[in-house]
Amino acid sequence: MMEIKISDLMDNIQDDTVQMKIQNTVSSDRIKEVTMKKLLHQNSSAQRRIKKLSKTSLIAAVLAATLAISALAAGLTYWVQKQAELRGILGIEGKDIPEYLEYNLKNDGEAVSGDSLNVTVLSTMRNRHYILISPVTAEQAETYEWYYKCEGMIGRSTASLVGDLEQAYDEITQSLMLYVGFYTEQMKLNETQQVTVTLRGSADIDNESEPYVGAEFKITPSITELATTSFTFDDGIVFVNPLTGETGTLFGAEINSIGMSWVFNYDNAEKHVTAYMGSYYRQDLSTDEWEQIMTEYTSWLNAFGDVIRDAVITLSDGSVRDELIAQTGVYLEDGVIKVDVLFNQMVELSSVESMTVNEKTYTPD
Amino acid sequence: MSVDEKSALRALIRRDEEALEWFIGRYAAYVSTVVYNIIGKIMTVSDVEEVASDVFLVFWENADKVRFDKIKAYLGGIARNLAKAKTREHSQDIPLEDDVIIIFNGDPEHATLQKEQAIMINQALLSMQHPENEIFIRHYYYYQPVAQISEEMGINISTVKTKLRRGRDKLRKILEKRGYDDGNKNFRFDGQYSG
Repeated sequence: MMEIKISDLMDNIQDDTVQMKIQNTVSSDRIKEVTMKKLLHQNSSAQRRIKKLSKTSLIAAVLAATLAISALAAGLTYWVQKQAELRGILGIEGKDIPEYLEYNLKNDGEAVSGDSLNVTVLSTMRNRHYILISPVTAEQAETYEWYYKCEGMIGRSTASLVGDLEQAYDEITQSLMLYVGFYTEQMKLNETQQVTVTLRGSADIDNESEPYVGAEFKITPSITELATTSFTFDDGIVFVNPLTGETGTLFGAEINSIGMSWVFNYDNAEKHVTAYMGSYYRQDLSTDEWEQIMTEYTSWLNAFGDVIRDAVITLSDGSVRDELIAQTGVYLEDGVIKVDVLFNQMVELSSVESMTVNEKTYTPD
Repeated sequence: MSVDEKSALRALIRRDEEALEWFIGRYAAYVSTVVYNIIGKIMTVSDVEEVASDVFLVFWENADKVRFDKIKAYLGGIARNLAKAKTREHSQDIPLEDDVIIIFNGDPEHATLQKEQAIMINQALLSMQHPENEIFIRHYYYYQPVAQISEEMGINISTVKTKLRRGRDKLRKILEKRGYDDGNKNFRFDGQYSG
């Protein structure tokens, strides 16, 4: 049996007859900037053919070659090499990030044979766990989506590639690096409790007749405190919501090794966030009420986004972290809104020197 | 279609990045409007930017497959489908008026059915007169809510709903005429299994 909607039938047409009212919510210059940046990155990635090894594994490999000893005999295992590669991709080689923990092959992260995949847990960064799965064919690596679930989790979540496909997939060993994340506070886990995770990969995860691969593996969630560096933006950066004319205040930011949280507030924030977060359960809102709330909420997030769009964090080596706008979570805490952002590469917290927001530079509290 | 667009497309096929920038300047507002109409209420402006930029990257990769008199239609289609895929990533469904569920029996013919579907939906649209076909496309292709269609076309809401219903009836008749009811004895258009 197959179900199709009219909107799916419309996938088969193209239209240029309807003259729609143009919504000027995004500037053409901004789209051009984002597109050309992606194209540049795409072109740079296409030129990379050799995975970068960490200094440790490179020295060991040279040593092994010089002494005519196999990599295994020199103490290097494939496991260690992949952990080194992972550090390179995450940009943490040589950095002091105490929350990043690698697993010892003898004790933790034992390879678990599932029904068709082997899973090895390489490392963990608080609630994020980096895993290596094999065997994965090149076609599977390119076309499959990976999902995982465990007890206490609502529904399922997407497992993401570490870096891009070229970084994550090793065709020679048919292995793929992914990461999975768990919000342990929401799941009410403690750090001594091992959790069994079910991972599944398929080209169409919703189609039961589609071939799939899968496995179970265990992780120990980490709920250790994440060290943070805080910024307070004087009395707050006041911004206007152009839709409502009302003002909100951006109070500051909290930076950690893997990302940051923006902190801001406005009237009705609680109403909007709780409506959105509870959307799976709330039956008391009519469609019109829901649309009204979402329209207002989105306008606030857009107004906030305009303030932080060009914000950067400057590190002691002169490098910056920008694009601090791609949110991974929005929630209420202590009466204010927090917007979480994940960095593309981890930072050493002690190297955070300043933060520039709305053309003003601030130093840590 | 202007000469400039034709030569720009040729340049794009030759991987000229200035040509891509030219097309972005020309169609970014349209593409972002299509995307915004689908995901704007449930995601941020940053998400709209991301999807819109992906549309142009798809165009960059497939320029040689695009007809130069159908660039806008092509971009609109890519924008729509990428925005639709984005809603699925976030497990969000856009509510539509009676987005009718059609049930087929027999997987092996699915590939053929997809081609048939393209023919049927185009026939249905051709059978509708203006403004019925435009209303149908705005709602089921561009995911515009009824209220927005009413405002932009200057037609009252109940008329929009009536036109949508008539459009669905015409689509049903075309499906029945193409033998979907005959070939699948247990099928009814309104999605109810008749046993």
